[in-house]
Amino acid sequence: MKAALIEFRLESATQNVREFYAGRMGTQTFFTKEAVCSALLYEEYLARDRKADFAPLTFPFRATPAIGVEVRLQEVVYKAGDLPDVGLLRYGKQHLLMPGSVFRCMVWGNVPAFQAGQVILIGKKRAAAEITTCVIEDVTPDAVTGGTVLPVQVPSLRLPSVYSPLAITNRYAIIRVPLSPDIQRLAVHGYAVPLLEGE
Amino acid sequence: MTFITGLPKQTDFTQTLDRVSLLSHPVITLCGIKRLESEALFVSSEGGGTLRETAKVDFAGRERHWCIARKINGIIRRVLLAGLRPDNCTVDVPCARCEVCHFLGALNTDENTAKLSRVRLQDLISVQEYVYDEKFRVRLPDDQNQRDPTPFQEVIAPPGTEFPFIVRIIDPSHRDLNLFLYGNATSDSIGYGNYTKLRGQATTDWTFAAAGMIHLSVHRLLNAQRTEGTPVAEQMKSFAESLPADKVSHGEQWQETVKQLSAELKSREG
Repeated sequence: MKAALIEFRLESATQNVREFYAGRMGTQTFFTKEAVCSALLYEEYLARDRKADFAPLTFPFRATPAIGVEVRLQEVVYKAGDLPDVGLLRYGKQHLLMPGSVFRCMVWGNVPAFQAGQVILIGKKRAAAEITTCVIEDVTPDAVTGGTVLPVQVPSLRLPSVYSPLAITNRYAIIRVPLSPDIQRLAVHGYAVPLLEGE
Repeated sequence: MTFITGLPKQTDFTQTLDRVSLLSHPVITLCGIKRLESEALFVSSEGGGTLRETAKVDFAGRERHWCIARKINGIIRRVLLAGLRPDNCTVDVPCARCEVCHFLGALNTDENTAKLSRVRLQDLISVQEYVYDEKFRVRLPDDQNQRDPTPFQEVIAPPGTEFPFIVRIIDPSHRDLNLFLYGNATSDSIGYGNYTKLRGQATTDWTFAAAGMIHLSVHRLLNAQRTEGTPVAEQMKSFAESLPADKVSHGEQWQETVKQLSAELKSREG
């Protein structure tokens, strides 16, 4: 099996929308694994049935969420349209992930030949991002407990017995799971990802 | 014969494309440099007191002027809506059915319909370093009998500031190129940012257009300009020359295409 450790840097501001109320739209400081896979596969919905937004997506490889290595956040004032009370956010504040922010993730499975310098589109409004680091290795799952462990994304209702949460939403939880001899892991370039059942 | 001439005349905007891969789907990338012709104020924060400061970002080893892409996108949408006048479509309530919505995307919360934009603009991040130069100004009262003018301060992006401008169009056609290039050229003359009655005007020099998702990074362009001194336009030019001839349009032929498509909003065929 191939696995790739990927780091990318944003070239435009974007968001992974978190809370949205009282004229304030916040952002998470990570991208979900679905966002990572879609971006790396250059997949887009051009027209969609909004009811299908929550349908599970399938990809040829699995991924960790992209976690911020160097995240720059900025609050900006948002003003759209002419009428004050039509539509969604007309006037308020947005927290943005700024250009220059760097994220890290790992993908494994049927991994295409990604390469550094590749430009992907990710996040709200599909900001451009450049892959700055890409290490692809042939890997075999093992039970070694070394390596810097990357957080994983699991369904909120299928949490393992030991974990530390980074973010929990209705749909998923981003958690850090300590490695132990009974957990299989994949390791690339000194970074490890635990393979959890049902993830 | 370039790949531009091989583009379809217009995209069928009634088609309902679902999930697509941009690697197998047609994409065109336009690259150029937007240059301010007058001072501009891209306000992104409320500022303190009477000070308004143009937005900045720490990028490629420097603090640089920053204009978020949606500001450009918003002006282009208004230009196209004014030019095409689609029925029941405004910036406040986009219809999600017309040509403009199909091109620039739309979210209609009344009908719960959404169309993703087929145009992807990158944020404008300046070649030149951000310099904090506070200008002291006064606003004269409308009523001439009143005496006290209101003082305020501004930190602006000066004329001549250049921004690498990269745009990707999904499912491109000649019509789309016309919409975008005309929309951009008209927006340039209207201006971007705060108080465009007097400022924010720009020009765009389009260096090349290439087929597909090309891997040209603004960070690399700006970094090379900073460390090696190679001008961004020159880097773009050599990048275009490195692409296969059938996948790129540049030079005089491309400039002629830009000129033709920027000049007027041609009527839709069929």
